[in-house]
Amino acid sequence: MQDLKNNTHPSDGKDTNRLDQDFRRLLSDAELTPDAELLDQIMDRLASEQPVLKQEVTEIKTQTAPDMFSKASKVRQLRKRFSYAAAIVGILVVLSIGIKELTRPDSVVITASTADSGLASTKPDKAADATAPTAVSVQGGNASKTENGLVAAKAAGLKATENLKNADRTVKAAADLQGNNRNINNNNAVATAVSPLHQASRSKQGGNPAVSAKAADLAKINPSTATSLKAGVENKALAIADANSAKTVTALKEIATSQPAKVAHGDAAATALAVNASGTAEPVISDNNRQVTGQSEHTALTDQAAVTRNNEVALTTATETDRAAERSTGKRRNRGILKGFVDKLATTAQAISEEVVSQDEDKTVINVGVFAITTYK
Amino acid sequence: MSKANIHTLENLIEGCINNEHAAQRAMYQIFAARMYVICLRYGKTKMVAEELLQTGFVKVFKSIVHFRKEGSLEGWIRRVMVNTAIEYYRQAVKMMPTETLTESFDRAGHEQSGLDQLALEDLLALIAGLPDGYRMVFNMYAIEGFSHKEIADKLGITEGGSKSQLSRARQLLQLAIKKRQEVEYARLEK
Repeated sequence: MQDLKNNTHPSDGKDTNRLDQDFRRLLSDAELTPDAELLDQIMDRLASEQPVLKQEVTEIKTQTAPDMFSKASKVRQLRKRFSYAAAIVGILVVLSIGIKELTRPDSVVITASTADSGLASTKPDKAADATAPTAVSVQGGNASKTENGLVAAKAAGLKATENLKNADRTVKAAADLQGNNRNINNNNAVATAVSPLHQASRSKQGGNPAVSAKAADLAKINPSTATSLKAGVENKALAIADANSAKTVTALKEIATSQPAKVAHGDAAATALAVNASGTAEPVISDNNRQVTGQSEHTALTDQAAVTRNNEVALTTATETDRAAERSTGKRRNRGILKGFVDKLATTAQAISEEVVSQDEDKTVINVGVFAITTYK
Repeated sequence: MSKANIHTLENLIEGCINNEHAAQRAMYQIFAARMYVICLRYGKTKMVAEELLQTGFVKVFKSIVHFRKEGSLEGWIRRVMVNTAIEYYRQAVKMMPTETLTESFDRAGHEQSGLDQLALEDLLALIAGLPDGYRMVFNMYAIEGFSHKEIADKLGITEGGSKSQLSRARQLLQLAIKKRQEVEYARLEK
């Protein structure tokens, strides 16, 4: 409805335009009598409009009232409510299925950090290079998302854990062996007591707690004997220390060389672990030697050289195994100029495969939604 | 008018509120001639003007109960007529495309208009000759005294559009007046 409250006439001359002023002056109070019939038409219209309105309202009431309370309308209302409820349930079902599809885990990702997490505390600095390619190869095998690669990666991870435990056990056995030798005589005890003591001090970062405890015990038992070391005893202690180190090295060597050609990436990691373990044993042996006597230094160095050679052999074997595993899984097909290109292609293919997998999931969700809507209809 | 003189305006208003036909007829007789000119200004044809007048008076008689007697009754009825014309225009006619106002537009209409020599019918014919949008804006601004903002609100256009259309209307009116004068001079020379 228009605003009828303002009763003032605004046609007071504000504008300075001459034309406007003239028009306003001439037209504002002008009069022109309309046809006489117009009044009759107005009166007829006034008379006819109100009754029509009342009639219209009555007709609307008479038409809608029975329909509002009929059985058909109730059924219609119920159907409408049911349709709302069904629509809500359908949407919820679609959402739940979609969320379930999207949150479903595709694969177990074994990263480099998880593969050698148990090793990190005991490995020496020397062995760090040996573990690096192994970790990469494990991750690459997983990332390819092929079935063989996944299985191989999982098996390799499991085997790596197993071998890690074996390596720990071997180190512990070597320590026990050294500890048992102290019963031969006091001279031996000196050598064996000092060595675990050093080992305990060197494995502060999380070495074998049993070894550390044993070393601490031995250190408590033989503190004075260790200081009153005599020259005559040196040779015996040296011989026993050599024997112990030889045993330890043999045990570690067995682990390091155990089935290198048969295994995939995980075994390469295991081999690297073994190398780490032997590397841990190495300073034990050299410290032992140094503590016993300066004359035994040559022998200890020879022993150390042997251990180093063993380490090198193990490293070489691990590297070769690693490369062989990479070749078998297609990781390293080309070298040189084409290597970067092939790597890029592999990355792109991986991204595409992941995209395809996610699109498949989306399609599944959409199909389920369409099916739910069709069922509802 | 003689019948209207019998009733005072107060009585007329009361009679219209009570839906008395005599009062309604008397009120129509008093204001119809002035309101008809307004309707002729806004309507392009006589038929449209009569339709506007009819609709306007029906509204007046139905809504006179809302008249608060604070201003003049004629002003209130005039406003009802103008609003009816605007409503009709918005429903029936589409607005003309608007142009941005330039300075040259606003110069029109400052010369002697020569309107005094024209009869009322000629003046109304000049306004009726304007395009719908121009005619609406010119009537509302030049004669009713609406501001451009009010015109823009009521017609659903921008203020710039209102100004532009007013200037165009002035230009067209000036041209039409000039043509009429030339024709008149030519007739006198003969």
